[in-house]
This record gives sequence, C-alpha cells and structure tokens, in this order.
Amino acid sequence: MSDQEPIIVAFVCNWCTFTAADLAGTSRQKYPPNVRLIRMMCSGMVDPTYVLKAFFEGADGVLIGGCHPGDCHYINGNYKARRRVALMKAVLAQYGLEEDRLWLRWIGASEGNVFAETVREMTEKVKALGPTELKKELVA
Amino acid sequence: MTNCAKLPVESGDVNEALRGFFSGLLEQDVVQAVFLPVRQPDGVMVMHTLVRDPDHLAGLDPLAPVTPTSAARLLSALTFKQPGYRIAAFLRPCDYRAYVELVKLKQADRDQILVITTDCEGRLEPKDFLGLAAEAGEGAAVAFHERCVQGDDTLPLVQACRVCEHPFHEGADIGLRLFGGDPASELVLCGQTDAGAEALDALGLEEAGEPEGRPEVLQDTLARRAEERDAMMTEYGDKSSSFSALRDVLKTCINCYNCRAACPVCYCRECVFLTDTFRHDPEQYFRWAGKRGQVKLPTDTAFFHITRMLHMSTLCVGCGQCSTACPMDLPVMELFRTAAGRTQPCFAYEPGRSPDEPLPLSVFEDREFLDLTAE
Repeated sequence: MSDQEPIIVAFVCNWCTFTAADLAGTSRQKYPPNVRLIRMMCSGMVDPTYVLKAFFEGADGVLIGGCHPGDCHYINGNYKARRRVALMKAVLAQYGLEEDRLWLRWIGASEGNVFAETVREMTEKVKALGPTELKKELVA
Repeated sequence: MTNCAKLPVESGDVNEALRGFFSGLLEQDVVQAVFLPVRQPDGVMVMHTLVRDPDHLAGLDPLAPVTPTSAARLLSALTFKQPGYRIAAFLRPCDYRAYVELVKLKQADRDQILVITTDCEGRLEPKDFLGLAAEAGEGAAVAFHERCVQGDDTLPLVQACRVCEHPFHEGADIGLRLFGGDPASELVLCGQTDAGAEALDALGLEEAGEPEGRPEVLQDTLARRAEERDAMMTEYGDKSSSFSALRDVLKTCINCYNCRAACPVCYCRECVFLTDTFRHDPEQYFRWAGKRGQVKLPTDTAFFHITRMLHMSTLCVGCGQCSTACPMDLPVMELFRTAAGRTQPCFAYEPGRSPDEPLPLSVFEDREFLDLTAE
C-alpha cells in the first residue's frame, strides 16, 4: 500500500459494530481495505490512551463504533464513549488534529451496509486530509 | 449563630492569634485534631502537620505563602477511611477545590473535616519562600501580605496564582477574610456552613462584620487575574497549536513524571506509564527507529502529557503543583490550564465547586453531543 493510502484504526464493539462488519463481509459489501478493526467488548471500553496510541503509531484516522443509544449490551457504555470522544476531540483539536480524523458512529448489528458506507466515507475524508502531523513530524 | 467573628491580633502577631483559635477548637473538642502548616524544627520551612496536642501549636504558620506539595493529597491520606477523628483542616482555596475532587473520586471524605480556607493572595515557590523567610523570619506571612497589598511586582508569585480566578471558596466551613482586612490588628473569620458557624459559636468569639473593603479588593483581584489568565491561555494556545509545537514546548521534558506525582487530581492508583505497558521491548525501539529513521529517548513524552490531559484536565483546579514539581521549569500548569479551558466548558464543569456535583465522565445524558455521531 502506498504512503498515500490512509490507515484507519477502528475500535468496534463486539455486539453491534463488529457484527455489522462481519455482516458486511458475509454479504459481500465492498469497502476500502484501509480500515484495521480492533474488536472491543464495548465502545465504552475504548480508553483515550488507545486512541492516542493509534495516532502516535501512524493511524491517519480512528473510528469508534458502538451500538445505537439504548441498545448497549452493557446498558450505557456507548453513552460513556460519547462523553469520552467529546473530551478527546476537545483536547486533540488544541494540537491541530482535524475534526474528521476521529469518528464515533452508532452501527447496529444488522447494519452491514452502514458499516461499509461509513468506512468508504471516512476513508475519502481522511485521504483528502493527507498523513497526520504525528506521522510526519517525529513527535513522540 | 455567629456569622462572622473577630480574632484580636496582639502586636502584629497573627500566628499567636490563630494559635488561640486552633487551640480553642481542640480544647472545646470541636475537633480532635488540626491539620495545618507548621514551621519545622529548622524554624523556617513550613509543612502541613497533624496536631492533636494544643501545646504543639507553637510553630503554626497557616498564612505562610508556601505549599510545598498539595495539601489536598496529604489530607486525603488522613480521611480516605473514617478513623473517627474530626479534623480541622486549614487549606488554600485551590487545595480545598482539589480535595472536593478527591471526595468525588471517593479518595477522601468531606464529613469528618472542618475546612478553614483563607482569602488567598497566592504562594511562592519553596525556594523563593525560603528567601523571604530568611529576611522576614516568623513575620514572613505578614510581610508577604503587606507586599501584596502594596501591589509589589517584584514578589515572585507562582504563575498559577497570578492566573487563579478562585481566591476564596464559599463551600469551606469557615473563611478567613484577609482581603480588605487589617491582619496586623484583627482577623475576621466567617462561618459559611452550619458546621462552621457552630464551631465559631463554641469558641465564644466576639461578633464582627465582613471587612468593608473586601468586595472591592476581591473585584480587583478577580479582574486582574482573569486578564492574566486569558492572556496566558491565548499565548499557550498559540504555542501548542500543533503536535510539533507541543513537542517543542516539551523539548526538555525528561519523563520524570513529577507533574503526575504532584498533581492532586491525577487519580489513578497505578499510573499506566509506570506499568509494563510502557516498558517496551528493546526490539520496539529499533522498529521505531527503523520506521522513521530515528527515535528520541525517552519516548512517549507527548503521549504522556496528552494522556494526562485526557484523564484529568476536566478536574484541573489550577493549583500549579505540576509546575512547582517540574525540575526542568516546563510550563506544565500553562499547558494544562489551556487544555482545561477547552475541556471543562465542554461539560459545563467547574472542578472543586461542590462535592455534590458529579464528575463529568461519570454521568451522561440521553441526548447530548449529537453532532459527534452525525445524528
């Protein structure tokens, strides 16, 4: 894959978004191969450190996928994830991380098509932004 | 009930007057211990000390302008379980605000302490305080106050204090009204809660009014500090507007993690940066250097600081202990307050205001931040 191809690290919850990704595959939906899936038990388990680590290690975008509000297997993990993403965006924007590099999306287990569409859309946006400053500038 | 009471000060000896007050609290059994700054055996340095015997209050110096380490963290060591003693604790407003956060984090207890705060003019770095104490001796606190009142610009106030918009705390049980008062002749103490007013009653002190000049001094202080704070946030917002700019600000950081150890609200019992997660395999360094041509050691510097901002900038009370602890004189407080200036408004959160308010990341609303998920 050339340097121009962005890498998106996706933290997806076991119960909804991972299942949706699985469905997207088994139903032969096409989506860009730029995304690297990491299955979490819940979007509420995505520690900000994981997201930072992904960016420091060269991710151009991070996608967090969880169940729709009200559908969380652990009752409210996705609501907690939403507050955490709000916090991460507030901090990372200070250091110039572009809005479109960190996405939170609710993708239910039956929404394979939504998963494929989300990855397509995010890949386009992140590709347009080019590589992150963290990747280029020897920041550690 | 007494709202405000006065403590007469004889021949300018503020500490003697306060000694009478704290002895009274012990003798009347209002509390069984007091926790306050006391001069150490060298007669100069002042450290928070737990005192149970009134005879050991001779060296007390609550208004000495120094806080070598967060008194909130120290006090939490006495209250994270309930040993059954009631403690009168003398805290600066920032220390009480940090303590409130620790109460919410269930690492401290509010019920067993009687909190006494003071109108706060700020503090000095320990080395600067030692300089002042060498000149002024036991009168250091009064000398400091007088220079603050005169607006002495040469006083090396800690930067965190120059930009602090919380020079007093309404939630403490008792507030010492320094602003607009004349501490050389009397100290005014005001009960701000029922427990505070009862404690003042128990001592049978003479009633007094709030110092007349206080609102004006308070207003001036707040305006001056807000202006400095805004200028600081703009400056450091610009200085850290990209990851490489942040790296440059942090260029002398040696990953000692003193800022983390000194921070009263850095709440993790075990810091992930001290675990094996960050004890990388030697091979890892070679992979990094291979990928980018080089790797600076120690690694994970910006990662560490940004992680701290994500973990606790919402709780940052701006006490400045991080900068005090930094051996490289990095502007840690400036970076943190700048980040906090973004994260706290995000959740309309003011750390340290009240133990009854929930931590912003422990609660949620059904419908909020809807734009984040493109709803």
